Amino acid sequence: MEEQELISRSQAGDIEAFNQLVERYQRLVYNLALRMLGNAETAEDAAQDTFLSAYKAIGKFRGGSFKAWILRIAANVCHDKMRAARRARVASLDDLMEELGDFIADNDAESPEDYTLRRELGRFINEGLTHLPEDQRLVVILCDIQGLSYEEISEATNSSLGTVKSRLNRGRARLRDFFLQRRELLPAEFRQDK
Amino acid sequence: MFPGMRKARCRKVREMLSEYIDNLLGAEDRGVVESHLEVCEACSNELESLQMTVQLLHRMPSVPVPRSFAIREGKTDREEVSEPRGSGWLRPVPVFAVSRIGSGWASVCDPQRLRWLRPATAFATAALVLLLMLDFLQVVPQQGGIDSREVFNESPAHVMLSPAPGGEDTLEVSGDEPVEVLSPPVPAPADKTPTGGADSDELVVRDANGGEEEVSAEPSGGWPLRQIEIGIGVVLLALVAVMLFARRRRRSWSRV
Repeated sequence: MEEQELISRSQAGDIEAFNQLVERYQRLVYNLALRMLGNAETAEDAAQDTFLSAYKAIGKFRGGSFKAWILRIAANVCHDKMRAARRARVASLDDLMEELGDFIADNDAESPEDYTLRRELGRFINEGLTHLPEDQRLVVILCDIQGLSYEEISEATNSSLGTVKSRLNRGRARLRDFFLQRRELLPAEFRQDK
Repeated sequence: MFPGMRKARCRKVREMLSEYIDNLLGAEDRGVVESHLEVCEACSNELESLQMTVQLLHRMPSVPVPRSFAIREGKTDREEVSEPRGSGWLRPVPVFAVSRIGSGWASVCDPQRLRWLRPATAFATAALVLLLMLDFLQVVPQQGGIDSREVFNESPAHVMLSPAPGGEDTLEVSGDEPVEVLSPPVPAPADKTPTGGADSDELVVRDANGGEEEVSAEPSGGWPLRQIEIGIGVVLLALVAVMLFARRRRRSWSRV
């Protein structure tokens, strides 16, 4: 079924049609929450809250990219969760890092050594992401991990194209500095001494 | 090229490097960047390190979802769904968040949902302190009718209750002046409108000279400070208990 038809039926109260939209976007939303929040359980909560909120607000959706719209809701939910965590200091950075290595997909074909390396790399990159300011992190994740275009990011973050470019530029540069300061942890092919 | 001009050119090119990596620059800007990179080693290194960063990020795989986030029919009413931007202190807890085993308490103890606790506790504490001060200074007239200061200051002796020959209880004040306390007045007949005698707990105090004085034990229109103090104290204790419980819960869930 076409996405537009699913949206129209969802707006008319068809929960099955809405759930088909959930099936299409849940991986995207969950991954965004996971990278933004750095905690699997909170990311799960955030993803569920996103779809509940989207279900409530679908009547107000007035066209455009549904993907950008749902990601905007997800970004708002993540922002709320982070603010709440900051206030309560629910998890220290160390607690957070304990879990970060698990955020990599399973691949049965690889050797245990490769798995360990990949796990370490995932932990390392996630640690770098957590060092970015929230607005830059969101743009970097959407562009370099989720693969959204600048226009889609602009819509999802409700900011201008210029702001997106600027945040992406600064986010990448900051992340690059983080990686270079820990060069010894990079995979061999990236470990060129400059 | 002057060093200042070169620096400005480097800055301009570096601002365009992200778009250059993403292949989003127009032909003209692309030419500007490429011609500068040929002569500037620092910017060339900058480009290389940024490309390395982007390549690393591209290696991050998409993680499969741990479960379906589909909305279950019959369980979710649109009115029950929480707003994503809602920041009200009584923000409703999402149905699924509470019902799901393992994260129920974590959601209930979500600090954002309980953030009203701290200001409420502070308010209750301040109110209690203020009331205690008012009570201590006796600025506000209290409910209760009899001013204890007057009674005890003017009758500084101990009081003994002894049975009187007529069946009435007699209060004897050690000293010169015995005081009789009569039984509560007989209720007024049904055809008469009670004017407070039958419904109110009044004591008739007769002094040794036969003079009578009615003392009302009913509220005299003042503030029931004691009751308010006790009430606020109980509320304060409950708030502190909820806060401690939520904090313990949050800590234990964050370690899961």
